[in-house]
Amino acid sequence: MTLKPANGANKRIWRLLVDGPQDGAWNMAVDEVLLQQRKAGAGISTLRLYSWQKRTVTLGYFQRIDKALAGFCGQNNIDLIRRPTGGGFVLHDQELTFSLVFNRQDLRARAQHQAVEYFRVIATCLQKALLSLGVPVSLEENVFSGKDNNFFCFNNPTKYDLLVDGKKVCGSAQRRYRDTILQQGSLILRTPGDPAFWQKATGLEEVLQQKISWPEICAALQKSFTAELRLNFIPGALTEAELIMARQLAAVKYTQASWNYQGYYQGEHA
Amino acid sequence: MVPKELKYSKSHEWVKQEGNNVVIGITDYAQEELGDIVFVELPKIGRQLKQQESFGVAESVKAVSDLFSPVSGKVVAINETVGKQPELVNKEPYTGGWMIKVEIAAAGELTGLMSAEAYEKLINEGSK
Repeated sequence: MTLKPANGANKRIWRLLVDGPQDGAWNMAVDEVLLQQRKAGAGISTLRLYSWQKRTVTLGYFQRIDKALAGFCGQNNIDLIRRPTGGGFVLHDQELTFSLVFNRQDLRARAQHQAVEYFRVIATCLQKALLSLGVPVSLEENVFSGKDNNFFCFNNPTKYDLLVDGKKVCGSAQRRYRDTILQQGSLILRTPGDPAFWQKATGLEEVLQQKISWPEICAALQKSFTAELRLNFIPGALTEAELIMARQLAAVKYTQASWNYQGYYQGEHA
Repeated sequence: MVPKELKYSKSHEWVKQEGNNVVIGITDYAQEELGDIVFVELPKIGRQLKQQESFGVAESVKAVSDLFSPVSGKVVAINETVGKQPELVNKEPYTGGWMIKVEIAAAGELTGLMSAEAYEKLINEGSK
């Protein structure tokens, strides 16, 4: 796909992918393929919005499998998949999931030396989108170290996560390959009935006390990213090459116990 | 803090030559950019690396970042201590935080690396 800015405008062109609910292995494979293609210079920066066919727990790249968590997933027919990104485990249920794949040059004007600044830039876009929907969201200032190997993402707010009244509504994690960054994030719509998981989290619909539609949130996100990052979105789909790569990656990696259930020290580089 | 006796890559790794081997780690600039490192994954001994290939990953502040080898060659040693104490990469990037030792396959690759002066210039320009 070759896209050039119209009339030499200053705005960068990003692709907007709005996917329906998919299974966990496919979701992770697509995000990794977008990163691979962008870093190889074959893809363009992309905002992808998606959800899940069934409840799925994703683990951070380095997390060990916790027996209690594996048991919980098994008893409740919840898939368990390891992400390419860092951070803690997430139970994906009633949420809007997003991934951003971009080159740091795309954000150069806004982000400084510290890599955590890329979280800030993205969080600011998300915050403005949510504020436009009437959600009084703020950014967490404190850093959570993540040294506890079994932590649940939504019980541990860290710097630039999005909070409403101290409860986390959106969390993110990244994978960086030189200047190319994949950020995956979960925006909670409704917290389900597992209180152990959701003590410190809330959802947009709980805050607003009304239903909110996907198109409404997607439009707010698109508008905010467009304004904040000075870019233009072109609605698109995965290319044929990306589809083929994602099928392969889902088959050889994200459906395999050797990836999903490995101890962190026997990872990709062993 | 850029030690004069080391060579540097544009992707912020340092290289210390020891005969036919080189010791590789990430620079003080790189560790500062990453923030507090909480996990490090290194390759198995014996793995053949190509120049600029990813040899491992480090996690800091919920971000997993690839680490790149400035030279081609065989991994002959890894610093297992940083697997257990990843904070060493932040505290002692040029000493206790070293990552891998590689038997170099192409000595000519070393001449393409930067001197301390050139690397210092690169990071000063990059942070402006």
